[in-house]
Amino acid sequence: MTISLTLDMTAATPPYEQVRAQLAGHIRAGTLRPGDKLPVVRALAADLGVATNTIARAYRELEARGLVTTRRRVGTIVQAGPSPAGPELRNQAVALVEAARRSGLSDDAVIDLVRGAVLGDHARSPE
Amino acid sequence: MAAALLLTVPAAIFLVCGLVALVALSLTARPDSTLPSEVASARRHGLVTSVLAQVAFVATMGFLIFLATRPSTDGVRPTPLWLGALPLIGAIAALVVLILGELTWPRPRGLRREVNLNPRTLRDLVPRPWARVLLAVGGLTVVVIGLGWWAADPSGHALQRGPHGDIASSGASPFPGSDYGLPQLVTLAVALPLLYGALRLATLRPAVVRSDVATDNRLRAASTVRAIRVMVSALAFTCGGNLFFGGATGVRLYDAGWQQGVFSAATLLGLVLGVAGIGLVLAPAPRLPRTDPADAPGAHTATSA
Repeated sequence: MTISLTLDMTAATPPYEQVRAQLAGHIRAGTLRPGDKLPVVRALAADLGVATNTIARAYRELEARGLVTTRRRVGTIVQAGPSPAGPELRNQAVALVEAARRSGLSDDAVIDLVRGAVLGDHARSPE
Repeated sequence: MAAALLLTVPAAIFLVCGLVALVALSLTARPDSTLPSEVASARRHGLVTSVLAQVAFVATMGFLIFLATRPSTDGVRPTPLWLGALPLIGAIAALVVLILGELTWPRPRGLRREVNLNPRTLRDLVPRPWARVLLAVGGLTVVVIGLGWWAADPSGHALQRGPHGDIASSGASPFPGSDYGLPQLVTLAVALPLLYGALRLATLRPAVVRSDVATDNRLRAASTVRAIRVMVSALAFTCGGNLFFGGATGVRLYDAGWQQGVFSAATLLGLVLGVAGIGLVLAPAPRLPRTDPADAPGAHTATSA
């Protein structure tokens, strides 16, 4: 399966954060599985036309959250498994994305929508 | 004069065969119109670099042959010791051109960039047959240099036949001993890191925009083959030259017996390797498969808007 990564140079989100978020998304969705090898920092930076530091920072952030691990001579490999959400919840997430796209919402707008729902839920729930 | 012919004739054959191969390949290539413009442009970049590298290979050797064979004012010009390393010096020039080609590979531009997360390693990209040929010819070259070093007399460039019974000691040259072997090993030590650099750059360079994984990998494999075939060809010329000249010198020295058989076989093997060197450097690199023009610009995953 081909796993792709998109970088929007006009977005307000910094490039390293875009890379980090998408890789984290692929790992949590299970499209990148534990043991899968991520591209070499220099290769991914060259492919995206960004500085190597940008990709290195994204990888460092993923490592700090325990999603990937970097080993000498092996490279950066996925460590964490997919999100513990069951298939029903994942199907609902897919359905939400499909419905939002049908309504003409961009991917960023869908994420904002989910983030808003999460924040709203936090605000409602008692501490 | 004979030595000059032995050097210039292979170079001329190489040039003619190269031109024929270039015309044949360009006539059978997949047309640019069936490829996304970025892929066509990247392929052109690779082809131009490859041709420039071949030209650098031949031109460097040609220039050095000219230096070695030009008439001297006093009429006597000893054979330069670096002459044996000529193909490897040519390979160094070609590899430098290939490295420059990789460093100037088109970079992704545009505000929206999409890439595939497929890790690339040299092991995945270098075609196995080429890797095996490189190891075999490289190993044989080192062994032949070592044997020449061991068999030569203390002068390092001649073969000595010791006194046996009523036969007095006699010698013949040129023989690829340490005098020729050392420059060959030094140039090999320079060429190998350059080869590794060219191969590594081929794996790390930016993916071609609007190309699928298979197309991008094929373009990278073509780059690795271009670097390896220059090296393999130079090694075949070097090894072939050592065997040919060493064998010919041995045949002059031993007019009978098993030694003559060994040196005759070495001469023949050297000739075969020399011709193989010409064939190897003209061997085609992996090419993009021909497809129906209607299907061509299909599922592309690496984009840049």
